[in-house]
Amino acid sequence: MANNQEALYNIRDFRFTYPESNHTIAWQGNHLIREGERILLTGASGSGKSTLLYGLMGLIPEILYGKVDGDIYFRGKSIIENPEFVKGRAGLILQNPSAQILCHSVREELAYGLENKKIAPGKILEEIDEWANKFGISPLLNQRTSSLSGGEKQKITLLSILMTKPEILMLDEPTAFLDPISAKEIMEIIEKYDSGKTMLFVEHNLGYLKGQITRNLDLDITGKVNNRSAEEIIWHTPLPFLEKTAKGRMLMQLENIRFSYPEKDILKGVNLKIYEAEIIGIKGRNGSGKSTLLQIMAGLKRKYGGDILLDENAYKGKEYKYLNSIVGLLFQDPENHFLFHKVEKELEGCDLQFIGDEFEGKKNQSPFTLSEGEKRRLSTAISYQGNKKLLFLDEPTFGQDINNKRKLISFLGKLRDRGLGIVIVSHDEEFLKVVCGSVYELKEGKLQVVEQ
Amino acid sequence: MIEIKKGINDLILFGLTFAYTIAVLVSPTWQLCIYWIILSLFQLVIVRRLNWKLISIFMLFLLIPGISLFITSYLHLKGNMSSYPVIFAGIELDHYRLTMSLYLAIRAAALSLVSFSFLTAIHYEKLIYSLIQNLRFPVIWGYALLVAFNSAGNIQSEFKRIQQAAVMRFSHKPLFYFYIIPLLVSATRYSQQAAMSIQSRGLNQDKSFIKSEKLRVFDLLILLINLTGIIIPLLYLIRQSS
Repeated sequence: MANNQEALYNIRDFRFTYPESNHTIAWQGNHLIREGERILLTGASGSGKSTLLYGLMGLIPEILYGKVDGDIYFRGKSIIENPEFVKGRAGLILQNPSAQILCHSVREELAYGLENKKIAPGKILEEIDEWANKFGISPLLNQRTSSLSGGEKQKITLLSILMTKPEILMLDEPTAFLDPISAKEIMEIIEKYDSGKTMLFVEHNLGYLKGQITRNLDLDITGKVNNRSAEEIIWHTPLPFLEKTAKGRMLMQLENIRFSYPEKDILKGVNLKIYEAEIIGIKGRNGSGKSTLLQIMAGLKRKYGGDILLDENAYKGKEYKYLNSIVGLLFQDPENHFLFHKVEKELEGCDLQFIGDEFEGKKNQSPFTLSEGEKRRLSTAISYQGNKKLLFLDEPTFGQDINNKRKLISFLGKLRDRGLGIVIVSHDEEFLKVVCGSVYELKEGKLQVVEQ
Repeated sequence: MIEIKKGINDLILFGLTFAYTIAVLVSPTWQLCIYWIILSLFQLVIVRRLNWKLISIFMLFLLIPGISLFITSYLHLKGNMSSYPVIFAGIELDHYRLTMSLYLAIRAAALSLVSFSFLTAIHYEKLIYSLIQNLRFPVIWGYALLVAFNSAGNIQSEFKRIQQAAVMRFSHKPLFYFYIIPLLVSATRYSQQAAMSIQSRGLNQDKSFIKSEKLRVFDLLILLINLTGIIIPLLYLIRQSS
């Protein structure tokens, strides 16, 4: 049946090399994307899934410079030569909701795509009201985009693109930054929008896509493309459980921690005990205060109520340097931790025995050019240096494929076995389940036990 | 319904910033500089764009360099043949040096105050839309500027995270130099994604706008009144001096 459908795209032996990179991203052979198909793009980190989406959007080589071979045709016309042909006809949602927001107000953001099509302002405003009612975003219309949460920003960007009625919608890990509820809402909008629309998904959380995909294109790192039917997709690959071990002595205790931002009380009495050789998980919605809590625990925010006890002694605000010295904090974006232009320099002071020989051949490489998994492991090693007693990780599985998650689990197991008390903040519920001894949910400013 | 624009067009306010700055620069007396300050602030009061709190704080800060400039100018200026002594609070002062120092201090203060009050009154996004709609400013540049303004908060929080990561690593804040590489990488990635977002949604120079920032007769009238208020006193002074 699919063969009878009109081809929207024809990818012909497409290859792209980023400037100053030794690795060429390749799509060997000819591949058709037909109207009405819902394709899942999979492949290891660095295999070129996102790059292909950029190519299909006509952003190569105009926005993304590099060496291009082969071609991509949209409705029979080369978009490598004529990128303008596809502009406004295909929609792309990226991972980071903040970087896609262009306008000051939600209404202007929603109007942006239609304005580009030179539709009359009155008609645009009518459409905005209609769509806002349909998708339940009317209360947001008069807000400033900067005041929106990550989930709301992603919803607005998605609707802004859908309103232009693109011939194909491409989604590059649209749920990566979102909590499960926001992620579900995004997927519901897509479902509600048009079930017959051509779509291309790059997504690690396959659970959200079950029942929506018609075909899977799996990209090998060598450029070989495996074409699979929806039935052949492995929707869920279980993560290995980390064997639980006995806890040691108590390292840190939070007593009635309270914290407010000018507009909102975010923590309203958080209590928690962290022991040696223990991994604790904390989940919660975007904006619930998880990252703020980690920053307080790491001594980076000092104007809070309540007490932090270290080794059963109350930690005083003035001793924050001591707290900084015994706590490692890993941010969501591993690149926040890189300060030097060579891996070798970053590794100075790290426990090389612990890291093994993973970075042996990459010592002279820039840390920013490593794969996502390598970046994550390098940043974890950096956070751990100096023999820390506690390690706090903020969304460690962000942007990680299943193999990298497995490596991360074993990495965290090694750290825990060294006696470290570890706290992980994550939206990845499965990861928390297999790694943590106990999982809490931060809800309405308090920690509630989910699993113990 | 299309939103009807209220108040003065930001492009006019932007133009007036230059007009008043030039007026201060060419003013030969301190009294005229004060006249420009009053006139420009009055302007912003009328269009309800004056941020009183911010301007008051700025004026307080301005006092320090203003007084310093006045004192140093008075001490370093040479007297004039036609000058005469003035007694102020029991101290004998040179009239010429006094008026010249006062002129220099008030002129510098007027320059800062006029530009600051106008620039804090301008809504940057409206200014960009106005530039695009009235002066055919390229939309690609306009949206790039909008993204740059919107990203300020993001870059700030990114900088904070990098700084915090460094503090946790070294137990002290390293020199700013260390943050440059990660900050640049982050800014580059952000701008690349923003560029993709701008382009992929079909950016078009010939586009419509739900918010009209077209210049109206009212805006041109305001511009005309202001220019008259600036040019007439200047012409009068030039004529008097010649």
